[in-house]
Amino acid sequence: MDDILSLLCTCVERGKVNRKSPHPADLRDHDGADELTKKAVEMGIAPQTILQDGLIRGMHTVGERFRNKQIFVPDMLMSARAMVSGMEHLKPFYISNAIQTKGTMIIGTVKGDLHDIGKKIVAMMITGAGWNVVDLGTDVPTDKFIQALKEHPNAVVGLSALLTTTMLNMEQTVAEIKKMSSTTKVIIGGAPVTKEFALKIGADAYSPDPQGAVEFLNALPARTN
Amino acid sequence: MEIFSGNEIYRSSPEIKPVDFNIEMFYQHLGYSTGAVPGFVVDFVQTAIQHIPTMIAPQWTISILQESVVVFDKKSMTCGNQQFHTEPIITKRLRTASTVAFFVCSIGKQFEEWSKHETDSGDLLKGYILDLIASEVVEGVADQMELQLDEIISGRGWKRTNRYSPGYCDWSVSEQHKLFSFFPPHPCGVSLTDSALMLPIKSISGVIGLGPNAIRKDYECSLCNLEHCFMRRNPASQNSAIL
Ligand code: B12
Repeated sequence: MDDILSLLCTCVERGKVNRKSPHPADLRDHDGADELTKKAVEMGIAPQTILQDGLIRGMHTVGERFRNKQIFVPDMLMSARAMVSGMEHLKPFYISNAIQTKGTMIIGTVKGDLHDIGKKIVAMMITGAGWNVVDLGTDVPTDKFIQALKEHPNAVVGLSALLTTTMLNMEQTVAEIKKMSSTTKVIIGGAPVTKEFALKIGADAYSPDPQGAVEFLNALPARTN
Repeated sequence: MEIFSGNEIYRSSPEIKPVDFNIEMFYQHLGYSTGAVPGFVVDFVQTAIQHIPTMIAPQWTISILQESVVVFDKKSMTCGNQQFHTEPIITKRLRTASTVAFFVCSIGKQFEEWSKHETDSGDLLKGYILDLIASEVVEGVADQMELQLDEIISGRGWKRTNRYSPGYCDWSVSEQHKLFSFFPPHPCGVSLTDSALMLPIKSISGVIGLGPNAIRKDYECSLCNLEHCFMRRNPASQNSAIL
């Protein structure tokens, strides 16, 4: 059992999606995350174990390597592809509750801003860490965050902005969220955002990269959706 | 050339070929400064850049102001009835000039839409690479624009400074609203939202100082205080012309 999970973990780390995929060259004609997850399910390994000790463990290493500049965004996204291909086989177990997510993250780019990709990369890495992600898209007004929070009252909120002008809109969104529910945690990010700004507007955290968001979420007390 | 509110307006729509795209530099900007670029990146970049001629519509518009309307002090620049708070770092560099040219460059929205399409259909990897290619191309368009400006000013005995953009070195991004007032509406098809976001996204605006004593410097990464910039982290790109 450990063997197949270690292999699965390696496939995620190296971005090996399935048998057909030519990348990485030294794993050509080997099973990828797709086949290995399917096999692990067929072997009767608990879905939660496959997720945690195979896919999530792999993505954790990927996040750390990215932070240490050992790999770059394309590598990270290739690993995410591998992870998603494995996740497909685990979907039924989410519905039957055999897999519990760690919690829900509501994420969006704030009002006035249309930048999407950086936020989507963060969302992908958070999914890869075992969280359910509700992505509200771009140009998201405060009301929409509040509405989503009503649907997922225990969720953590992530806000993104790429311009200093739109970054200012974070302040109002954070204030409204905290007014509705003072215990809701908010993390913010995007190129112009700083730790000082996060402190000033009453957000709980700032991270320059996806890994910091994952670490922040994982350090929170266990929660339900 | 046309005249708009007393300013000389020049427009151009250059052609860009795949060979104009500096792939090595692009890989460095992706982070791969050591040369070990994964095959899947190389394959996709090679395919994507073949679409540059059909999917990218590079354009720029330049607005050259008369010398008599431009006045500098230590941290601002007044152009006619508009005062720009260019702040000390940029103003110091512009002050070597006797007038300025404002510019807007864009590559249109088609490439951006392609990237969005890939991203929305779940292929974040392709979406990301396309997005960065588009960013790189618009920078290249701005470089070409500077060369056209050289031609325009060559007969006048002028030189030029580097280009500087609102949103950099403490010059507020919202001052783009003032900058756009020096152009006829929607230069290069670019519009500006209330939050000073240019649409299409892959667009650049800025200013260049012109005059007999204008000084151009090598690109200075150290000017910028963006702590977590991935360009800064990559020493290989420090001398490249990123904005
Ligand atoms: C490439 C680039 C461009 C390109 C493309 C821009 C684009 N928006 O697509 C071009 C050349 C066109 C450009 C233009 C401009 N740019 Co520009 N650009 C950049 C640059 C170098 C990289 C941006 C990028 O593509 N990053 C890659 C993506 C994937 O990263 P990301 O979105 O930041 O997301 C990552 C993190 O931020 C984080 N993150 C993101 N969201 C969240 C959310 C949470 C919760 C967390 C935890 C983390 C997180 O994780 C993501 C993944 O790693 C940045 C500087 C930098 N190093 O970031 C400046 C930058 C964004 N640009 C800037 C500016 C000012 C401009 C212009 C206004 C300049 C001008 N006057 O022309 C224009 C605006 C264009 C417009 N449409 O309005 C400023 C913005 C700040 C400000 N002052 O407002 C920056 C920050 C540079 C600076 N001066 O400090 N730009």
